[in-house]
Amino acid sequence: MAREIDAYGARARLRRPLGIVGLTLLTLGVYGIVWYRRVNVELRDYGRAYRDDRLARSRPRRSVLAIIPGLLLVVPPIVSLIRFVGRVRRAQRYGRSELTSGWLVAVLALALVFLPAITGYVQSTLNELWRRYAAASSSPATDTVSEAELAAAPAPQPGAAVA
Amino acid sequence: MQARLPRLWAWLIGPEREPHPPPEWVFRPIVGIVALLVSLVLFMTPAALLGFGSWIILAVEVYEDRRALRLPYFWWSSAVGTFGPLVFLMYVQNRRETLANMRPQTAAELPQAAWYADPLGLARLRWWDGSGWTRDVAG
Repeated sequence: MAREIDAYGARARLRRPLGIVGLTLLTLGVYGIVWYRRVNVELRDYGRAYRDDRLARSRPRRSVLAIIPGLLLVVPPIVSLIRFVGRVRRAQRYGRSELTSGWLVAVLALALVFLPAITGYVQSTLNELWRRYAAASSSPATDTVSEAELAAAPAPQPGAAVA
Repeated sequence: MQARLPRLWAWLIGPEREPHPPPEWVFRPIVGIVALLVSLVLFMTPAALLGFGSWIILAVEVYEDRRALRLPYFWWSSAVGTFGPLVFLMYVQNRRETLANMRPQTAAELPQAAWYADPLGLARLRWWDGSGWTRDVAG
């Protein structure tokens, strides 16, 4: 179901968006929570790879706690979701890929019935980001890297040069 | 089983076709606002069902646009078809941001030539020549 990629040493997974929505529905939301934690871990690792403090300092466990017991207080899941979308967009700005729409996530959350669709939508935009690294990490050897793969890889961050 | 599904899909939908990008003016906010007003007015008349017409048209335009941009089309076209012109306005804003984010960087924005962590994960370091990645690796 998922394919692992390597982005500057950070591990992330390409997942089927509709599969995630289906699993979330089948497990009555439990898989959605698992997905939320896993994606938060991937974003944290991606932030570490890009030396981005805001992404690197995020705490996936706390994000999950904001959803599960936090749901009783109403506010924590909303704050967690807003910050999560902010982190996703931040990562997508580094990879210069499509940006997740916070407004669409808000509409899906407010509609309640479409709440599981958030996982699918966010994963589909994240897949666009991870695919920029995917083809490269699946190449078995350096000399087989194609010009297209080199061109598709995101530019490095200024100041991240190794002396 | 896996080979049958694409064949069934092609039988239902037809063969793959070239994308037809809509004209750029379709993705101006005024189009969404007019569509919203038209559908609201129609919803107040006995011909209320026609109010959904603009929703469907906008959803098709979004679908064609996403296909032309080679971006996933399911989520946005479904959302515009389900929630109507308000979500179309959100799409217009997100499209502008996304296109700005995806545009190639200018020479002044690109980092200097140096060794950087290999984004392809095949070596420890890869040489960036100031405009693109090269085949030179180290470590």
